Parts: sequence; structure tokens; C-alpha cells
Amino acid sequence: MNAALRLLGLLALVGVIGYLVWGGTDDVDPTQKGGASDGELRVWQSSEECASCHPEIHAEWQGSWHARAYTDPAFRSQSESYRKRDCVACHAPRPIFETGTGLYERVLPRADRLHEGVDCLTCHLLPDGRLASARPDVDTTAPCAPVFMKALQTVDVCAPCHNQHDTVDEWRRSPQGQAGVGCNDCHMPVEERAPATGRSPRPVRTHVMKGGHYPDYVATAFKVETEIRDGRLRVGVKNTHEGHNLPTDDRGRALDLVVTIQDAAGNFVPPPESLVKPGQTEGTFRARFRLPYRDEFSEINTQIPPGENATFEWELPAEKGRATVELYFKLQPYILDGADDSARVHRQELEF
Amino acid sequence: MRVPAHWLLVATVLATGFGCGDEETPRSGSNTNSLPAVDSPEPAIQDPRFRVEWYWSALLNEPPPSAARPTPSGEASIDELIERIVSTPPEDSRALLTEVGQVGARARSALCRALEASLDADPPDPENRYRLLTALARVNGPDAAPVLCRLLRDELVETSALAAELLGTAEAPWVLPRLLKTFGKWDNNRSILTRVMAIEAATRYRVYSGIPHLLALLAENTALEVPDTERNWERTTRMAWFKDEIERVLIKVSGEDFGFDAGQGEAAMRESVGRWLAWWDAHEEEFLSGERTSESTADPALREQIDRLLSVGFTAYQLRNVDNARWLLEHLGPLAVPQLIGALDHAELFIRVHAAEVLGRIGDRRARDPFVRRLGIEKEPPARAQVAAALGAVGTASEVPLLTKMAEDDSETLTVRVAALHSLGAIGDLSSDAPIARAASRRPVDELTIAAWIVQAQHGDESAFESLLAELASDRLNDRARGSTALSEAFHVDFDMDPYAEAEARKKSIDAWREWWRQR
Repeated sequence: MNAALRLLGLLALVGVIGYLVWGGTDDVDPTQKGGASDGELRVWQSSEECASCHPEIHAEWQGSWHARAYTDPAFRSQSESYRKRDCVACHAPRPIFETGTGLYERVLPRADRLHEGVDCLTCHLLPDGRLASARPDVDTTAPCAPVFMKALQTVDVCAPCHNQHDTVDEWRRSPQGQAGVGCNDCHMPVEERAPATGRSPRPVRTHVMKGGHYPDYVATAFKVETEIRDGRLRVGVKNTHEGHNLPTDDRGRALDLVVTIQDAAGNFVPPPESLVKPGQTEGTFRARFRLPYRDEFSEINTQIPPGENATFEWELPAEKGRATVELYFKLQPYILDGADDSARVHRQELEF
Repeated sequence: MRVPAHWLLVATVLATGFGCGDEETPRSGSNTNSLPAVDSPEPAIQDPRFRVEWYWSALLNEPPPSAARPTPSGEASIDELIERIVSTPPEDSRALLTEVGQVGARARSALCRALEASLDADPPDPENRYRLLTALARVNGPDAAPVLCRLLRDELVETSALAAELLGTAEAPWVLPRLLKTFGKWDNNRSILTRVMAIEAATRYRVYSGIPHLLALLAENTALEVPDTERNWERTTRMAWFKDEIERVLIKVSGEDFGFDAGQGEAAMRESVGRWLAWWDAHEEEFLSGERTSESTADPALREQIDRLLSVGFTAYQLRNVDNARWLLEHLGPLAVPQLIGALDHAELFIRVHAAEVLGRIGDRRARDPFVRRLGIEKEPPARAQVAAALGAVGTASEVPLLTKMAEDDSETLTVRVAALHSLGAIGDLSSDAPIARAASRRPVDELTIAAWIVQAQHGDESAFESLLAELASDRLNDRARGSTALSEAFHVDFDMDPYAEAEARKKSIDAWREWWRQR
């Protein structure tokens, strides 16, 4: 075989390999051609640029806690006014497709536009300048040259940040994880509307991404069962959401169960000495559900796994009285029940 | 026209094959560099619970190389002794403790077992644990290290501090990861003593990267408050005690004594703190590079341990366990610099970025030339930005032209230009002023303008500060977010500025910023 034929063979082989590697993956549809890709691709530099065509989605994002990931006063405070640089990667990440999606990937920090937090470009900008879409039927001729990326439909795109505190691992073990119900299915519900200015309405995912900052949303994640029998109060808190532990993600989150006993005259019954928790100022009985920080060595993990029930029993006073059962969801663990970053997500009164 | 990806590959192969390829920037994905491997069996990467802590435990549970396990003979009587210690009131247990100490090494494993049991006891019994530990102090040895590491987390500060101290005398260099991890942790007062002891223990293994932490603690609240309440009195006394402990460690390490006395007046304290800081400035490099203690690099056992720690650090990066990797390599400091410089050329973008970041944090000038060289060949914006940012920590006036070019080059991405601009500010040479001023005058205001205002405000320029404040007062949410982030990034203070807050709350924050500047 002469040299020219060998070279031709090599070219064909390399071409086939190249097609399989870049052209034939599940993620990118090889038949798609970017609408704007026939010309020069625009260099996207800010999420503000998305607003002109996607005003509704941009507004949703701007009101979301993804947008506030860097400017959120709680983050600012916990990062010691941005001294802790380790936090930047997840609070102002570079485009996720740049570093890869999946459980074992991590994002890299931006140096610019930190104030935009987890922005549109974080999830949608591809290394080649095109934009990722979660829809297989995306209109690739749109000005931003969108292209279908399967990862955007899956937890793989959330994991590099949200598995830092094991949420995706929790999900993988959960009934919903086993059934393939993903993050988007609960946190990005679908609404019928125009995906962009001038387009016909169709099912589009919302970008508010509700989570722990929304007390009403948290209140849908559990069920409280109470029972008074034989002079004892039994309280069960069940994680009904079945997608991940309750509470999850940020280790600052805590769900506090507070039972306040009042006697017949309405006087507060203090906790028995053996049950007083350090720093406790409110409630007769208390229990906390929380994943401790890794350096909180004396704390144990008390999250409620998906579908599971955490039950408690306390002895009630012999006299008649009233028990108030409350649950407080806290964005920071060491705050009082009624503080700013604490929301009451359940309240129930029981006579005994 | 878009060129199909596989044809690009063909072109690349041909170009490389015929020898016309320049030095290529490796792309992320494949790992062609050979980093030292951890020689314990690898866990399955598919395991969702996998964390790099596995490596810590692999290191920590390794049998000590020199110490033989205590023989079991006589343990029954030791167990009896321990039973008696547990059941004897503290004030009466002194003689028993002495007795255990005299039993020597045979007591060690029994005490370790008792301590392990105590750690898992329900209900907890921290006082008893402390007493057992004081007994262990008399028979300390390498095989006590695992339980000592667990005790670093003890709820009683007396126990955790003593455990840290004993780790220093346990002759177990494999405990270094745990000691290092203690340095930057736990900012509350209760744990300061543990940190000080851990830092001292690390110096016994010739690792001095904790000294800056000691100096920071010493300089903090130099003027101890005059106690006016019982709580303040306690706090002041405790701080004075900690500072005396810190000084004791510094004297031991340095052989110097600058007359620091926590009970002396503010001016005298400030002066002696200043002398300690000057001493560290003068000797930091020799301590951290190992020159000061030539025996550290000559000691093959320690050298081997350090190499293994480096290996763990890089493996952690490869597994994306960034926090542990960054923390470990940063604390190994100059000992890690040669490896980190090598990692600037690593095939994985992720590792290149983090190697540059940690080199910048360590601030070792040996990284300067490699940074400049890397900027000449690096193509990936995240790595270019990080190297440019890190160059600000080690660069000098001679790097200003390169950084200026990067900051003003339209073909660079915004993130690279912003990083270069910040580095110009960090170098702080007069020749940096012109490019910074040019960026500050860009209109409309963009990220480069903001970055330039940050640098100028950090250098005391009031008009730049006012410009940032004007952003904060903007009607546009995005401008307010940008302004508030910029101000906190610049000065690391925060006046409850929430760009989403109501106008009145925002005004209060702006007033607070202005007052802060005025007083500053």
C-alpha cells in the first residue's frame, strides 16, 4: 500500500473517531446547526443580555435566589464579607459546561460579574459560545444559536454545586431518584407561555427555583402527626417530598420542632431540667433536624430521609393544659425561633 | 461556515504529525501528567459516598513505622487501674495516674481503648475522658495518634488542647493532615488554645505554616479590654492567657524574646507585636522553605510523609474535592511549591486553575517566572484569569507591562481582563496607575470600570469610592448588586447592604458606608 493510500485510510479513521467523539454523543444532536453559527457567534458576557428576548424568564431568575447567590446578605456575612474565597466557585460560577457536568465535577469561580451570582450563562453557555437548551426541539435558528444538551434536563447540571452538601447523593438514594424524577421536576415546574418574545406559548420551565427561602414551599415537604395518649404526647414529622433529606443542602439550614406546654391558666411550663438544650429560651420540648457543619464535631446528623418519619414522645404534665406544636425552618441554625431568617411552617394546638 | 468537529481533529492530527504544532495547551479531560499516587488501594470512584477523607483515614490508620504494638501481657491489671481511675473522684486519682504512667508503654493501648470507649459512651463523660488523657500523656507514643486525632474534636477544650499538644510528641508525622486542618478552623475563643497547641505540635514536625496564624491571633485585639463585667473579665483573662501561650510557642520556635506581656500597656504590646511581625517577615522564607531546619528535608521519613501529603492533595483535586486539596496544599506552603509549579502545566484545566490559585495564596516568589511563562502559552480563559490573578500576589513592577497588555487586550475575555486589572492594583507599582486610570474612565461603565474603581478606592481614591457608592444608589437592581458586591469585595466590610431591599434600608446602608469612609 503506498503512502497516499495509508494517509487516506488514516484520514478516514480519524474522521470516524472524530464523529463518534464529538458528533455522535447523546448530548448534542449532530443534525442540529446553530442558527447564528453560520455567521460569527456572539460573545455572551452577562445575563442582562438574555433579557431582551427572554424578559419573563430573566425576571424570574432575577428574583430568584440563584441571582442573589452572591449578593445575599446571609452569604455575605457567612463568607466574612467575601474574605472566604472558597465560596466563590458555587456562588458565582463560570459556565458549568466548561468544567463538566455530573456528580464528580466541580465548577470554577468567575473573576467578573460576581454580583450576578448563579446566572443564565452558568447553566446555558457552552464552551463554543452557543447556548444550551433542555429541549430536543429547540429552534436552533434563534439568535443565540441554542443547541439541545441532555445534561440540562438532569441532575448532572445541578450536582457540581448542590452535591457539596450531599443533596444529589440523597436524591440518588431516594424513591424519586430511583424513579428518575429529577431536580427540575419539583424545583422548575412547567408553565404554558412564550419562551421568548414573539414566540408561541408552549410548556416552559419556570426559573424561580423555589427552595428553602420559600416557607410555603417548605411546608409542602412534610406532614406532622400528633397524638395524645396515656399522658404522653407523640409527634411524628414525615418527609413527604421523597426527593432528598429534610432539610437538605446548605448545612446552615435547620428545621426545629418546638412543643410549648401551657397549664390551664395559660402559664408556660418550662422544660424538665434533663431536656433543656443549651441556649434554649423557648419551648418546653424541642427537637432539631439538621446536617451539621463538618467541624461541628459534637453534633450528629438528624435530617429526615425521604419518606421517613421522625417521631418523638414526651410526658405531659398531670394537670390539664394545652400543647402547641410548631415547626420553624431556619436559614441559619443559631437564631431564635422568631428571628428574621426563621419561618414558622407549621402550627397546631392540642388540648390535654 | 461551521467546520465539522471531526475535520478539525483531522487537521490537528495532520498539523501535529507534520511537526507544525506550537506548544499546545492541554485541554481538560485527559490526564497525561503523572502525579504521585497514593499507594493504598483506590476506592471505587462510583461510590457516591466517596470523599477524600478516605485518604486521611488511610494515612492516619497506618501502623506506625517504628513503634511496635504493646504486648498484651499485663493489660488486665492496667484495665483494672483504668477502672479505678474512672470510679475515683478526680482529686483522689493523682496517685493512680502516676501508677499508670509508670507502667509505661503497655498502658498505652489500654488507655487508647478506654478513650475510644469513652468517646462513644452514652451518656457522654467528658471529664472522665480528660482524666484518661492526662494518664495517656505519661505514656504517649505513635500508636496513640489515632485516638488523639479523634480527641481534637472533644467538647472539652482542655482535652482537645492536650490532645493537640500530645500529637506533637507522639512522633507520628502522619498526623500532620489533622494538625494542619486544625489551624484555620474554629474561630471561637474556646478553641484558640487547641489551635495554638496544634500549631506548636506541627512545628515539632518542622512544619511552620501555622506561625502566621499565631501572629494574627497575637495582633488581634492587641489592646485587651479593661474588664468591666464579669463576662468581660473572663474573656480578657482568657485572651491574656492565650496570648501568653502564643508567645511561649513563638519564643520556642524563634529563640527570640520581644518582651510581649499580655498584662502590659497597649503601646508596649503593639510594639512587641510589631517586632514579632518584623521577625517573621525576615525569617518566613527560610522557615517555610525548610532552609532554617535542614534536618527537615534531610529526614527521609518526614520527606516521605510530605510527598504523600502532596500526593493526597493532588489526588483530591483530581477527584474534585477542592476544599481539602486547597487547604492541604496551602498549608504545606512552600514545601508544596515545586509540585504546584509543575501542576501549572497539568493536562486538566481544573488542576491548572487550582494550582495557580494555591500558588497565589502561598505567595511564594518562586512562582513568578512560571506564571509569566504559563501566560505565554495558556489558552483557556479560566486558567489565564487565575494565573493573572495569582501573579498579583507574587509579581513586581516588571510584570506591569504584561498585565497591562492583558487588561487592555480586547481579544482577552472579560474575566481575564478583570483579573489582570486587580493584579495591577495588587502589585501597586506607580506604573500601574495609568492603565488603571484608563479602565476607570471607560464609558459606559462596565466590569473593567468597576474593577478599576475598586483598585483606586482601595488605594484611597475618594472619587472612585463615590462612584461605587453611586452604583449602590442606582435605581437599577443590577447596578446596585454590582456596586454592593464591589464595595464589599474591596474592603471586606458590609453594612447590611441588600440590593433587593427597600429604598429606606438601602439609604441607611449607603449612609453607613459614607460614614465609614469618612472615619477611615
